[in-house]
This record gives sequence, C-alpha cells and structure tokens, in this order.
Amino acid sequence: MSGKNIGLLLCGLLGIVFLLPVCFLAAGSLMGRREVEECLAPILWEGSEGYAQWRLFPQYPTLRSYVQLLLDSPGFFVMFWNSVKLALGVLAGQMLLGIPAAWGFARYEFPGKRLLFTIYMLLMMLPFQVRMLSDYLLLDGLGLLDSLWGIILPAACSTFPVFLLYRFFCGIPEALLEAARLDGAGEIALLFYFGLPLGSPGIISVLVLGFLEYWNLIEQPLAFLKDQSLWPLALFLPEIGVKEAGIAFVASVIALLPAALAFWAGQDYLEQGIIASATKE
Amino acid sequence: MNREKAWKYMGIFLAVMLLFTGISRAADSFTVAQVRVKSPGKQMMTHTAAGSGTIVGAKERAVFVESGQKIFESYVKAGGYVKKGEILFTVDLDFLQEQIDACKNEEKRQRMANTDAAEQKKQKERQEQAAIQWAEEDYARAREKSAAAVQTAWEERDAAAERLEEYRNTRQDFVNENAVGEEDLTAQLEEELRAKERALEASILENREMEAQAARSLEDAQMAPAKDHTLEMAEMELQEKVEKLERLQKLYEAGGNIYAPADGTVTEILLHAGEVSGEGAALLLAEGGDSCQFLAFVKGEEEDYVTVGSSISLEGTKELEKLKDLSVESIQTAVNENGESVKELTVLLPEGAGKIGQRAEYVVSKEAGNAELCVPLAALHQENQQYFVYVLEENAGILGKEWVARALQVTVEDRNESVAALSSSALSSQAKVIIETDRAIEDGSRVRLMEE
Repeated sequence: MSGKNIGLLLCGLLGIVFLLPVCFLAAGSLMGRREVEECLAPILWEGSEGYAQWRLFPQYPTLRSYVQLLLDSPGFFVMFWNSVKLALGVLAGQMLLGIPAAWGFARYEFPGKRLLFTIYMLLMMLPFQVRMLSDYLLLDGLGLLDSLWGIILPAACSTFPVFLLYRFFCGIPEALLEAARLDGAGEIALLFYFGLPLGSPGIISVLVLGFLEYWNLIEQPLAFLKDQSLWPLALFLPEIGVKEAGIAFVASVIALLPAALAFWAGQDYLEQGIIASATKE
Repeated sequence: MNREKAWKYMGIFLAVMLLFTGISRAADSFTVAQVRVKSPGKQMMTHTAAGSGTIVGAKERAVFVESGQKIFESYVKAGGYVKKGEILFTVDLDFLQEQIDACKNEEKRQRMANTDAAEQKKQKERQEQAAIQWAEEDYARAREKSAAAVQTAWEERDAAAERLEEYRNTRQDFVNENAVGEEDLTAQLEEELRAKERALEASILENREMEAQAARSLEDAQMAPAKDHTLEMAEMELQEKVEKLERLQKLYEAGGNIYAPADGTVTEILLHAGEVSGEGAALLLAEGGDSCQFLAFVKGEEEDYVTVGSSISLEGTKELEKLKDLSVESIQTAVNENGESVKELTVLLPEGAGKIGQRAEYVVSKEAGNAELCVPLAALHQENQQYFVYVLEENAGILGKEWVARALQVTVEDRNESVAALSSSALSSQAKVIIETDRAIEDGSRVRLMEE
C-alpha cells in the first residue's frame, strides 16, 4: 500500500471517529424514550451502576421524538427564530461595521493605525468571561439588557471579522485601485466595486465562521437575557429534563442542520479564508 | 454539493421550520386549557331551601266505624273531596244483623246475671242479719248461764262456810249430833269449804271464758262484710251492651251507611272494602273551609336554613304564584315515607288560597350576611379534605408572557348552592379566580382566557 493510501486510510479513520458523535446523535434522535433511558441510565439515574452504552442503530427506531419536538414544542421554535435573528443580526452588523473597518486598515495609512490595530487584536483575544462584567454594566447603562440588541450590537462590533477581512483586502493589488481612482472612482466606489467583489471569499468566510459562532451562542444570552422568550436555541437543551432525552437529540440534530448547510455553502471560501489568515504578506 | 444547492436547501429548511412553527403553535393551542376567570367579590350569602309539599286542611278529623263491622263497600279514595252527609262506607247488613242479635242475647244474659247477683246479695244480707241475731242470743244465754253457775257456786260456798262457822260456834252439839270426832269434823268442813271455793273459782273462770267466746262470736257476726261491687260492674256491663246495641241498631236503621261528618278531603283511608273495622279511625278527613295550610318535608342538609318565621314563597298553580310573603308557622319532627325522621314545616295560607290536595313548590331564603370574598361554587376544588381554587398567574416563559393556573388553598366560611364565601391570607379581591375551564387543569398548567 502506498504512503498516499495509508494517509488516506488514516484520515478516513480519523474522519469516522470525528463523525461518530454525529452518528450517535442521529441514532439517538430515532430512539424511543425507554431505549434512550436504558442506554443512558448510568448517566441519568442516580444509583445506577455500570457504564452508559450506545447503539449505532436503534433497536426500535421511531419518529416519536421528532413529532414531539416539531409539533408539540412551540418553545423550540421561539428559540430557533431567536437564534436566526441573533445570527443574522450579528452578521449584518459585522458586515456593516467590519467591512469598512477592515478596508480602512488594509488600504489606508493614518496616525495610530498600528496601535489601533494592535488594540483590535488584543480585544479579539479577550475571552467573554473577562469582558462580561464591563459589558453588563455598559448594556445596563444603555438600557439594552434583556434585549436581543444587547447581544447583537456588541457582537456586531467584534474585531475578528476585521482581522480576517483585513487579510483579504490586503491581497487586492493597489495598482487596480489606483487605476480606478484615475478613472474617477471615489473611495466608497472602490470599496463597493473592488473591495467587496474581490474580497468576497473573505466576506463569505467571515459570514460562515460568524454564523457558526453566533448560531451556537450561549454565554452572552445566559448572562444578558432574563426573558426566556428571547433565549436562543443553545439554551433550549438545558431546559430539557432527563425524561426528554430523545427530544434533546432531535433538537441537536435540527440545530446542526443550519450550521452544516452554512458550512457547505461557504466551504470553498472558508478554506480560502483559513489560508488567507495563515499567510503573511 | 455546490453553493447554490446549499443555499437552496437552507431556504427549504427555513421554510419547513416556518411551517412547523405554525403547526406547533396551533397544536399547542389545542392542548392549552381555555378558562374563564372572575375576581372574588363582596356578596350577600343567601341560603335557599327548596322542596315540594302539599296543601292540606287546617283541621284533620278522624272518621270511625263501629268496631267489628265488615266493610261491604267503600265509596271514597285518598285525595278525594267529600261533602257533609256523603256516604263513605257501607257495612255488611247481614253481618250487622247477626251482631245485633248476638248483642241482644248478651244483653238478656247480662240482665239475668244481674238479677241473680242482686238476689244473691240480698240472701247474703239476710244470712248476715240472722247470724248476728243468733250470736246475740247465744251471748245472752251464755251470760245468764254463767251468772247462774257462779251464783250456785257462791251459794254452795257460803253454805259450806256457814256450816264451818256454825260448827265453830256450837262445836259440841254438832259433834254429838253428827257422831264424829272433833278434829275430823273441822278438817272435813274446812276441806269442804276449800273445795267449794275452788269450785267457785273454776266456775267463775269457766263462765268468763264462755262469755268471752260468746262475745267474740257476737263481734264476728257484727263485723262489717267486705265490699262487693260485682253487681255494680255487672250493671255497667249491661249498660255498655245496651249502648252498643243501640249503636248497632242505629247503624242498621241507617242502612249500614257511614256518612261524612263534614266537608273535606280524604287524606288517608285506613279501612278498605272487605276488611273488618277495628278501634282506630277508618279514614282521615282534612276538613275544608276557608283556611288551609301547606306542609312539606325539609331536606336534612337544609334544616339549618328553615326556622320558624322564615320568609317562604310558594309556587304552583296560578293562584299560588301570588303567594310570596308567607312565613313558616311551625316546624315539627315527622317521619317520611322511608321511615326517616325529618323536619316538616307548616305554612298557614291566606283565606281562599289553594285547594286541599294541591302540590306546590316552596322556596325559603335566608340571608347569612355579607361575605367579602365570594366565588362561584364551580371555582372551588377539594383534595385531601382541603379546599383550593385556581388563580391566574402571569408567567414569563419561552413563549413570552403566558398565564399559568396556580392552586391556592382557601378556607370556606360559608357556601350555598351557587356561591362560596372564602377566606385566605393569599387571596385578594383583585385575584383572578378560574371559574370555568374546558379541560382538566392542575397547578402549573398553562391556560389562556376563553374566547368569548
């Protein structure tokens, strides 16, 4: 067997290993309540001995959990659309704010640019837990607590899209832009007619990565949203009890789908974005 | 999979999710109970006792038939109205005639028995008088005989004493004459005297005893005899038999008919055709007249609400619909058709109101006072002997603000058939109490207000 084949085999095996949780998820969504409780009894019930077990194929497959979730759980859909609103709102805000910011950093020179960009990088590295209290106080002062805008606005001002788009915008040849200026194009026109098309891979990768991040957002909603009707889908699973483990699996499957579709839609550009972020000028 | 397909599937996915959003909302709306609410309010607690009863006459009269008569025919039914003089029953005349004949024979026998008793009494009296007379004669003879015997004994004793005295005076002559020794003669005379004295004592004792016996016999004869009322009782029996005979004859002369003594309604028939009359009443007649009364049983659980003087209204025929401001005249203990002891109320009706035998419905209302927190009885629930109500509580959930039913324990201070007066530290007049629901709910159930 050639080295390439061995490599492929190993990658395949690794891929299967990484895929197993998704397979378990799908299998669990098709199991009945008793079968789920039987497999997860050591985890779910106190006093149970032994280890949890799982089957790749359910012994008695059923769509009962799907029916229960899709037809009998209106709260799930409230949270689903909250997640959609959050993700789309954040992405729209990031496009609105991040693209011009990245364009500015990439194509223009101004005093304090390096310092400002360094601050952007520092902010990008700060975890939410560090910023949580200051964010809370700020949002409280602005009256944005218990509101989706309190999640959307801070996320829209995230520095990661700026960082990613900066790389893509840096890759646009300056000669192209000079030529456009000579033809009378203004700076805004340069952004719209050259920056956005030529930086679309980066934009799409930002969108995809951003969607994946904000679709699964849990910390900010948990900290800043008290009204349960505003909670996103990530907070639905903790609401499910032990007896509704089947519904938890179905909810996870359904929550996985948009992320998977978004990834498939922007897979090519995502790869370009990762490459772009790895290369240096 | 290319990009366009991925976006297409994303669009389809979102569309499907939108569809299921609507379906799940619709399905959820079917499972959420719809409720009607009402805030507890101040209300006058009125207890109502209701039931039905009958109008009866103010007076009830018993009609009797001579005992021992066989009823040949009965002309009345319970609830029927009869006029004075109307025939109620007809007895068997042949049987009556037999009774009359038997009664006559009994009277004769009783008369003869009375005569015999009188004769015996007289004879007895005569015997008693004769016995007294004989006892008196015996007593007199006993005294005479006793006196004579004692006299004789005295004379003999005196004679003996004289002889002894004489001897002592003329001792020698006597000795010579009697040819005895001097000492022997003295002893002999003294002995003779002692003997005579003993004889005298004995005679006295004997005669005393004889007199005493004669006296006792006389007393016994003179003792008043025991009272004997046999003749008087016999006379009384004769009188009873005579009266009974007169009654039977009078009944026979009336053709064996029993007439109604007054106008009225037959409330109860105790004697029927073919039966033999006894000592009790044959039927009960509620006498008509200007005033009637209403009688009704009060249900056990409503006895507390019906008291003497309570306001009562009667509803029945057109005439009774106007009777609104009556009052309970009296309440007594009675026995209903099941043999249970119940309370029976009596209401005096105005003149001309109602007819005997009419049925009517009564309603007694009693005001128990104002209660601050009153809710419809449908809002009250009970579990483990504890009362509670469901109140509406706003709850912020995943679906936004929604209503939830919360069980609130309450104490029932008073209740009637429609309203309950509550007291609770947690229940206020602003609370929304669930009074109606279209399905079963429990504490924590999501609910929504009923569509009007």
